[in-house]
Parts: sequence; structure tokens; C-alpha cells
Amino acid sequence: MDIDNNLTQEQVDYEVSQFEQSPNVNWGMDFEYYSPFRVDAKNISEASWENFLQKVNMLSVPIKNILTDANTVEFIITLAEDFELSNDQSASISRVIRNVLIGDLLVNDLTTSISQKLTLDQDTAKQIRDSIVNNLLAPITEDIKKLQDEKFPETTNRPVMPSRPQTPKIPERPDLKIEQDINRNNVVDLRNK
Amino acid sequence: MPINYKKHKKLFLAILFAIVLVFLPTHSAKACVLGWDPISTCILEGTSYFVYLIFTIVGKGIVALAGILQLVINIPVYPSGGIAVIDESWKIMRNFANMFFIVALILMAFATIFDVIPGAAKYNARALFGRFLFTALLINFSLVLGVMVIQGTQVLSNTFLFSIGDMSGRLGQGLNPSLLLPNVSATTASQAVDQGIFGALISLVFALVLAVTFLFSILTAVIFTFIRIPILWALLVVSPIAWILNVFPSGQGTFKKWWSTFIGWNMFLPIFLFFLYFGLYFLSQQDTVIKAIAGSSSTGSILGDVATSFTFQTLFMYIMAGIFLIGGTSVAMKASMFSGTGVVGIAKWSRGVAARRLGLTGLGQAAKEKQAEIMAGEGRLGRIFGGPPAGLETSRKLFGVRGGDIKAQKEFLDRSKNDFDRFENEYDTGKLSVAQLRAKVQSTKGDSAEGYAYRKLAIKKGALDERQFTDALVSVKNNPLAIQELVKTAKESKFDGIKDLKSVALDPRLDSPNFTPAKRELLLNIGSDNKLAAKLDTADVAKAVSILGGESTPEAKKFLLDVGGTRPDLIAQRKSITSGTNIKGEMYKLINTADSKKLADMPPQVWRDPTFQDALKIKIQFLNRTNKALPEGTLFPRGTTPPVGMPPGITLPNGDILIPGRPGAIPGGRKFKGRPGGGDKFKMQLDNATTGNGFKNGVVARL
Repeated sequence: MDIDNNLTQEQVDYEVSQFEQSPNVNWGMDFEYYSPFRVDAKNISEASWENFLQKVNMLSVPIKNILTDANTVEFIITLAEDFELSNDQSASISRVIRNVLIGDLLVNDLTTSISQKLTLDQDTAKQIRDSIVNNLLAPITEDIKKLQDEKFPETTNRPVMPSRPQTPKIPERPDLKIEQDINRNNVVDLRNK
Repeated sequence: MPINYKKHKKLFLAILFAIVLVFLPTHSAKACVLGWDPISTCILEGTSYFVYLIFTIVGKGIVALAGILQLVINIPVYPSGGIAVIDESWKIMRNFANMFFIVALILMAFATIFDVIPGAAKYNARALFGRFLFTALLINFSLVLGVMVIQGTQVLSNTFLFSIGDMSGRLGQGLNPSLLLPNVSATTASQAVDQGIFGALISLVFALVLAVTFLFSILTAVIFTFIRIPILWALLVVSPIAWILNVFPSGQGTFKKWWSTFIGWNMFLPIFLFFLYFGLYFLSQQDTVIKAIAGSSSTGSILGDVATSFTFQTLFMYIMAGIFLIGGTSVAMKASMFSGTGVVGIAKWSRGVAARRLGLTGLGQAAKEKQAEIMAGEGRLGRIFGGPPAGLETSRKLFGVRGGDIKAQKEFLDRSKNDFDRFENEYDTGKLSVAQLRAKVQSTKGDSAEGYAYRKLAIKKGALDERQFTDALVSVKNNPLAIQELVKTAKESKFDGIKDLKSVALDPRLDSPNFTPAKRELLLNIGSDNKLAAKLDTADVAKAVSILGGESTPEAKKFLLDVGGTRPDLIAQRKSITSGTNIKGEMYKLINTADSKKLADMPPQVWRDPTFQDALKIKIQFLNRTNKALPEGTLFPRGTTPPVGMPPGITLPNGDILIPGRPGAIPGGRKFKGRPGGGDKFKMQLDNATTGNGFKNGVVARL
């Protein structure tokens, strides 16, 4: 993050005047839909929020970081773009991820939950689940296993995470080098298929 | 039947005494008769016989030792025919050492295979093979090489031995202690002693000391020349092991040490013989010297003209000869190798053991400690003989001694230091408990060395609360150095036990100038400690700034900066009042450089402050403007032109074109959900940092 450590008095006065003019404008984006941490921050009671914060505070640091990280937000935004999810569906996927992270939902029930909450077919739900497990949860697999063992001791014998080999993360596709006079729709991009 | 020696101890002693009597030197019998001074005559007779007796014993000892030395220096270490025990033992050692070549080969093989392991490189074949071959060849010649060194040094020794000739004879001829006695006309030591006068006893003592010195010098030489033989034999026998160690990098040190020890013990004899030769040569030339002395001296009495007396000059010559002999042994030891190795160490150890056994070390140490105590003015004797002279402080003031105050303060601290060390020792060994320490603080006066030491220890161990700590400071109000030391001690123990440091720093009892440096120290500590700074209020900050010398002093600036890191609300308010600027601006400046963790750690009263919340919003706005969020819309990757008629798009830094508000509706474009800005990310970091605190996190959620 770029923070100017040497602000002049003029810059400070300018920033303050900008704020005074429009205190509620922050020129950011409405990212609450895509944040597992903030998705319900504005529409749940104070008591529920406190309860939620207590749960979060009990989590291990890596899980807590994933829950509140900007990269998680960007991951969910990309997921919403790739699967053409609406704002409500994006908020639902954020809630599902939140529930997994705080240990309220088993990873094995992720597909069913996604399918139900987002009203999507099983195949799409499975694809979304795979993307979440392989890209978002991969670095904290052990922490999640431990958390689920604590929360659902009766399911300890169940395989918590699938044993399928991890597919490498698909790199962002560079732009196709297509001549200007060629119709893009006539080109089939076979990369990463 | 075994003899019980303990039981018959007295009997054995009697037999031993009888044997000694038989061997005592003969002396003409002389009964003490009543003359004009029978008692003094008897004393003189008895003394002279005693001195004569010692001279005779020492002289015989020198003769015997000189004979032994003559014998020992002529023993060849390794005669030409060889020594069976060495040859056979060396063969066993060589065969044993040969087994290690296999180990070395295996080690080299593994180190070469696993070359990637750190540290394996120095064991691989490339590094070890040359030395391996060299050693494999020379290990068979280790005995021959050793013997060559011995014979080489023997050649040197022989040169001196040949020059010295009959060493014992020359030494016996050279040393004639009777020359040292007062009456030079006497032919024997016995007569010389008989004719001596009581005043000449001083010269007798000198002569005696010199004779004993000769005895010990020769004894040392005999011991070292003798023990070098078995040592050299042992070194020869273990030489194959030393050679094989040379193959392994970690054993090369041992190999070098073997060589240095071996050469050292070999070189001892030639060097010693050189000095012995020199000493004997000096003694052999004594006739010339004595004649010269006799010609120049006017009297034979040491009590006469001391510098020119015959006895004194003769004594000087013997001392010189003694120095050569004793120094020769010492130099031979050092020059060969013994300095820093075991021999000198053993000598020191044996001397130390003797001193300790006799109680000399303990006695000396106790005496030193007592003297230090007395000089420090401790205890009954100290109060009488030690400590500062009475009325010193008053007199210093009277005469206007520069720095007199400081001297007195330092002396007080020095006196208390011994007490402190003693009390701390008692505390550490469990003789003084915390409760007892607190009681001592209560029962003693802080301005006495003892009371001060108890207070200092209590502060160090965290046994005082803020009120007691303040009392301790007040008790030494006339001694700024003591005040400073107490604060330093408290700081080193991280103000353990003192929960409210603010109450100490701002206590009105500490308003005298003597306390200012201490209060400054305390305030700077409060400023840099988040927990302590969190407890400050506006009035405290104002008072602190005044104690620190006003807003413009470096200390006050540092204090305000430190407190601003924890309590920006107080500092922003103060700054906006003093400089007339916008309080939100001041707050924004204070929190601008703080990261999310530091902000989250700020106390709740800061987070409750609306100015702080506004400053956070200003920061979020600023970050979102400088690192903009991307709105939802359609993204045209670089090189793809949006269709004609589209609203103007935003060209992103990577060349993509974004048309906001049209998610995926435009053909050729990619649906784009937007990306958070810098302020949004800062908000997420704050979320993370405040998850443990519902109130603070609620504030962040509403930002």
C-alpha cells in the first residue's frame, strides 16, 4: 500500500476539505458481496456480529487471514465473472466460503451447499467447489482439516478433503494475438482446455 | 602379618630420628660453660651449629643432584641398537593405524558421492587423496623420522656435553658457599660459622637462600631431563596414530600438536645444556672475579661499606650464576614448548594447591575483603578506620571544592554498592525473602548506604509499588546520582511492580529540580510504552510537556511523538489548540503513517473519538483516489477495440479498456465485476487487525 509519509500541510488541508465536502463518499467499490468477512456486516444484529467475531477470533491465523484478505475478495470476484454470478449469488458464495472457514460447513458438503444456495446445477456447483478447494483453500488445507476435526468429531473418519491430485492453478490467459481483420468469434481458444 | 604403620608411628619416627642423627655432619663438641656472658655464647653456638647443619645438608644435596644430572643428561633417548619395547609397541600401533586407511577410504567414497551435503566437500577424494597417499607411505617411516629428530638434537646436546665435561665436578668446584661467610680466612664452613658474629647473620641468610636456590634449580633440571625420556618414548610409540590423523581434516590439529610436542621435548635438553654451560663457564671464571674483588674491597664485613664489601660482591656474583642456572631451565622450558602447555600449568596448579591447602589463598582473600570493607566504612572497624573522614562534606562546602557534591554522592553510591552486592547474594541464595526485603525497606532509612541498597534491590526485584518507589526516590532527594541510579534500576527491571508509573512521574513530592532528570526519564518511558501512554489524559500531557522543558525541547518533541503513536486524540487536540489548525488534519497526520496493526492496538478511547474515525475515512478516501477501485463493467483486452457507439471507456495501465456499468453486455468484451481500490484494501486490513475486538471492528464495518 502506498502511504505518503511526508504529507505537507496543504495536502492535509486538501484531503480534509475533500472529506468535509462529501464525508460519505469513499471512491471505493461495494465489495461486501465478495468478502466472506463483510458479506453480512451491515445486515445482521450487533449481537450476531459479536458472536461471529468471537468465532473468527478463535480461528488460526492463516484461516483468519484468508477470511479477511483482499486476495480472497479478488478471487471471489473472478469466480463471479467466470461463472457469471449475480450480486446475490456472489454474496451467497461469500457466505458459503465464510461458513467453511469458520467451521460451520464441511468441505465435503460444499457442492451441495453451493448448488442449493446459488440455485446452480450440480456440475457448475462442483466446478465452483473445485476452484475454491484448489485455489483458495489449498494453502490452509491442514488448518481446515484440524478445524473440521474439532467441529465435527463424528466425521473424523470421513475423508475431509478429496484425495484427487491438485491441478496447477491456471495462469491468467494472455491476450490472443489475432489480427485486426479476423473475427474473434471464429477463433477457438484451445489453450487450457 | 601386615605391619600397622599408624599404630607404630611413634616407633618409626624414633628410628628415623636415630638414622638422621647418625648421618649428621660432625662438629667439635663444645660445652657451654659459665663465662662472662654464658647465655649469649650458648645462643651463638647453637645458631652457628644450626646454620652449619643446613649448609651441609644443602651442599650434599647439590652434590648428589649434580651427580644424578650428570648421569641423566648422558642417557641416550634412543640408543643406536634400538629399544625393544619401543620398536614392538610402535609396530602394534602402526598395524592398528593401518586399519584406519580403510575408514578413510570409505569416508572419502561417501563424501564424494554425497558431495552436495554441506561440509562434505572437505572429505571428498579430491581433498583427501593426496594426503592419504602421503600418509600411507610415511606412516611406515614414522619411527625412523622420530629417531632422526632425536638424533639430530642429540648431536647438539653432545656438543655441549663435550664442552661441559665433568659437570658435577665443575659445579662442586665452582660453588664454595664458605666464601659467602663473614670470615674469609676460615677454611671450612664450620669454622667460618664458629667465627661468625651475630651481626653477620644477614649475610648468612643470603648465602643460605642462594644455596637452596641452586639446589632447586638443579632439582628441576634433573626432573625435566629425566621425564623427557619416557615422554619421548611414548610419543614415538604413538607416532603412527598421529600420522593417520593427518589424513582427516579434523585430526590435522592433533598431528601438528604431536610434532610440536615431540620437537619441543627434544629441544629441551640442548637449550638447557646451553644455559648450564654458560652458568658453569661463569662460575669457572670466578677466580678472576674474586681476585679483583679482594683487591678492591677494604673490609670483610657486610655491615661495613656495603657496596664494596667482599661478601656482598661475592654474593652478587653467585646470584648472577644462579640466575643463569635457574633462568636457563626456565628459558629452556619456554623455548621448547612448555609455556602455555601442561608443564607450566602443572607448576602453577601445584603452587596454587599448596597455597590453598596451607590456607594462604583463603587467608589472603579474606584479608583483602575485610580491608575493602573497612575502607568502605562498613562494620565496626569500618566506622572507626574507614569511610569518608568526619565532616568531609561540610568542609568541602566550606572550601567550595569544585564538584564536592558530586564526589560525596559518588562515595555514597560506592559505599552502598558493597551492601547491595551482599544483599543481592543473600536474596539469590534464599537467605533474604521478598517479604523480608520489604520489611528492611520499611525499617531502614533511605539515605543510609544500607537502606539505599535495600531499596535498590527491592526495585530491581519488583518488590516496590508506585508509592514505595516514590518514597524511595524522596528518601535520597539530596543525591541526584542516587535518584538517577534508582530510576535506571527500575527501568532495567522494566518497572516491574510499578503499575501506575504516571503517578510517580507526576507526584508533587518530586517537584524539586533534583528529580527533574529522573522524571524526564520516567516520562519518556511512559511515552514509549503503549499501555502506560494509554492512561494519560490532556492535563497529564500538558504537565509532562512542562516538566520536559516546554514544547520546543527535543525531549518534549519525542514525548509528544511517542504519545501520538498511542494517543493521537490527545496530541491532535493539543496541536490544533496550540497551532490553530484543523483537528481532523492533525489527527490524519498522526495516523497516516501508522499501519493497520498499530491502529488496531490503539486504546478504545481513541477509537471512540469521532475525529479518529473521520481521519480513518480521510485515509480510505485518499488511498482509493491514489489507487483507484475499478468499477463493474465490460473489459476489452489490450488491442481489442470496443464497437462504435459505445460510451467512452477507461484505459487501464495495462492497456485494457474498461467500459463501466455494462457488465458483459457488449460483444467482444469480457464481463468484469470490478476490483477493490487502495482504501478498500486498507479497510480489509483493518478488518483483519480488529477481529478480536467487536467495538473496533464495528467501527471499521461502518467506515
